[in-house]
Amino acid sequence: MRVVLADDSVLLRAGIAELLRLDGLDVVGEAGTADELLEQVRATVPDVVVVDVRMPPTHTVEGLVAARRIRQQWGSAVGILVLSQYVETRHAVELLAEAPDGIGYLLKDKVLRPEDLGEAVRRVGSGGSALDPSVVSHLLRRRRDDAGLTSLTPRERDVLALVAEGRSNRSVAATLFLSEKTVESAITRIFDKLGLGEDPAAHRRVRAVLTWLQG
Amino acid sequence: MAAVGAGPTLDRMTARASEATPRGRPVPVPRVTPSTRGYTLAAALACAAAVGFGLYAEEGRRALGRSWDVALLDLIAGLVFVGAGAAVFLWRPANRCWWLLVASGATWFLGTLAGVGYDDLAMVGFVTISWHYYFLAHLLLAFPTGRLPARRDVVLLAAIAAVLTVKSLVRLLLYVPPDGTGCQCAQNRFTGVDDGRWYNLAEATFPWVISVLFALVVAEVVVRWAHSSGAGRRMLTPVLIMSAAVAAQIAYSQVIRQELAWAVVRSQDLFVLVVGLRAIAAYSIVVGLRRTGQARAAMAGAVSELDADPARLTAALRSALEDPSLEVLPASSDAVPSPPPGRAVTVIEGDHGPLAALIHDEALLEDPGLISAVTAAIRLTTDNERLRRELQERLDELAASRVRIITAADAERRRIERDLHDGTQQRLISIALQLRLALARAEDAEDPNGRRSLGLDFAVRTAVEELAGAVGEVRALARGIHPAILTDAGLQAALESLVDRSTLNIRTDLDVAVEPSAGAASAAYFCVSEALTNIAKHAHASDVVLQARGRPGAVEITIADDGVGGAAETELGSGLSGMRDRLAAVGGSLTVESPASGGTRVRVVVPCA
Repeated sequence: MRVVLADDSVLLRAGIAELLRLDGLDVVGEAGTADELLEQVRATVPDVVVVDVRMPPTHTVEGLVAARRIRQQWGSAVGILVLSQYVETRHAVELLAEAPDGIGYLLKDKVLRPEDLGEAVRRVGSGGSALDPSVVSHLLRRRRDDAGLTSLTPRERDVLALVAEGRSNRSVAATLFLSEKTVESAITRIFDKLGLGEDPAAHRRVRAVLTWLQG
Repeated sequence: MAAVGAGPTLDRMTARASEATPRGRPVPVPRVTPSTRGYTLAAALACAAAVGFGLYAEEGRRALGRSWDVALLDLIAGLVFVGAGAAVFLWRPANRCWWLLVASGATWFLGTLAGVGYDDLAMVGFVTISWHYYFLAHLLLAFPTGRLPARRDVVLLAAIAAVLTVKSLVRLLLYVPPDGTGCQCAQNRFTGVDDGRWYNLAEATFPWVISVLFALVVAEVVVRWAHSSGAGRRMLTPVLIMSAAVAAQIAYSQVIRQELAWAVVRSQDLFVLVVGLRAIAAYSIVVGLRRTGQARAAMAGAVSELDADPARLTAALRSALEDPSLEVLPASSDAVPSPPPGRAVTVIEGDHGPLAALIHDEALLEDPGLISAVTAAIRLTTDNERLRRELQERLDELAASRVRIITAADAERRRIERDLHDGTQQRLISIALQLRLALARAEDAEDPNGRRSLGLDFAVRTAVEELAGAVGEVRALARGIHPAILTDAGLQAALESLVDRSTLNIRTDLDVAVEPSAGAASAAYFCVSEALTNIAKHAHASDVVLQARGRPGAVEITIADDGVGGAAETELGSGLSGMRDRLAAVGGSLTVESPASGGTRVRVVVPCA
């Protein structure tokens, strides 16, 4: 899987690149600014870009702006994983609002857990989603009084949160030490309780869950 | 006419002085310190008057068989002036009229001496008998200030003094007592002539001259009255009438009655009339001076109404000084205009050059105290205004400096936040990452031997966990200093973010139509943050509503809860009062309603362009 990496900190960028390579990913380009990122994407058309939100010149949301432009130009063909120094639900929601396919939004600290980062990059690169757990927990808290949500068992809530993060059944099962079958049936129950009409097995279930969470 | 014989006449109408030879004495006017002068002077005058009158009346009755009422009238005629002088001295010690009144009254008694039976003493009275005219004229001309306003007044007075000097000298040197008749002062030791021709000529001329001179005095007073207006005229009116009456009386008694021998009034009655006129004249003068005192009192009252607004200052001065045409010119006008006739210009000097120029009725100059009161009032006003202006400038400066400080602090907070996110946090992550990579390389290097360094693995993982913790703390710290979302996405997004992070159940209704300035937004954000923290800590609320509304020129944010209420602002924590200062610096405001019955409502208003 071909990756372009954008971060203005050279050392950190090199470290992440090496980490991704160790994980078996192919880092085909590195960029220090949003403009460089767009050039690299144009030149290499990677499967996924990993981009820091805060980049020169203003260190505010240049990464998000670049991500939006890449999405406009290449659609979901180029997956986008945004790394942020801090998590803002608003940024995540804006990013995923259109379609969560091939979009990820993670706290930058995730690079310290190489296995999670690698998984997220792969997921996003193959059209899936990756949403930071802290964003999911904020979204869940927003709807804590919802009747559907309160009817879930704690276990079902955990499953829902992991589904919202964009994880596959296998990943959910591995994280919660459950069998995939158990996870599948849990997801079916959750969708019933929340009144989500989508097929819980379908690829677009993340979108359904996120749409519901945003109320 | 025992005293002066048939020829000479008594200048003043001590009508029966020839029959009565009272032994008058000037009433002493003790000078005492201002602190005690009031009552001491009054008591001394009363005692002296009582004793003096007792001796005087008794002597008159014993020696001359004169009835007590004539003695009383003579005494009153002198004492009213002395008394008026004392009154002026008491009320208006700065006014110089008092000594003229006293001198006029005292010199009246000189004439009384002419009637006593002792040669030399009687001679003194005989010679100086007319000098009270001088002081009367001086008084009329110098009223009300006690100073002679014009050079011609000095000339007039000098003429009167000259005439009186001539008369005195003539009496002293040329008077030859008629043989075997006349007064007991028949022995004129000073005379150098044998016959009374020159004396008689001088005595015949004097009444005409003194009458003309007094007519001039009256004319002068009339002119001055005509040029006055308002207060000045009112003050002069009684004096004018009285001086005219006195002049008429002099003319009548000196010329008409004695020289033309055309008498319509008996001399006893005339004397009563003279004494009455003198009493009224003295009274008029005192009242006139009291009037200026009242003007000053009005001035003092006006001071409290004075303010720097030129129109109101002018109005207050006009009303206090009763001069409707008074004008106040600002000090900036370099050239002091030359006043129209009857008007005067007074320049009010301040510590640093002229403050203002007053164009006013010339009559006001007649009381220098009044003008100095006005000057003091205007100084006070301009000083007041200057102090007020300085205070306002300092307040403005303080407000500006507070804005600068808050703005600088905000900018600094943003810079620190950025440094923490993009510097410290990045470096910590980077270090942790490098550790991880180092571990991975070490594992690769050691793999050929199939051994894993568990100790190294543990150490590196622990270090990475620690670093991850540090990253989290730095993130929280940065957020507390300045939320990045505020810069990234504005106040509304930042408020939503606050709600997201709060443990409270918050209903929101947010519509920040126009983004406030960075400083205002940040102040509003931290205010809401503080309020939500307080609710979480103290309110025990089940329902919290956060509402934000963009209004024209302002954003209004309300945080309402259904908690216990009764939160005094002090209990709301120093955080919120600190917020109040921050809000005030950006032109916003904070109000807290927290009735004891329950519920708290915090309202934050910040301006926006």
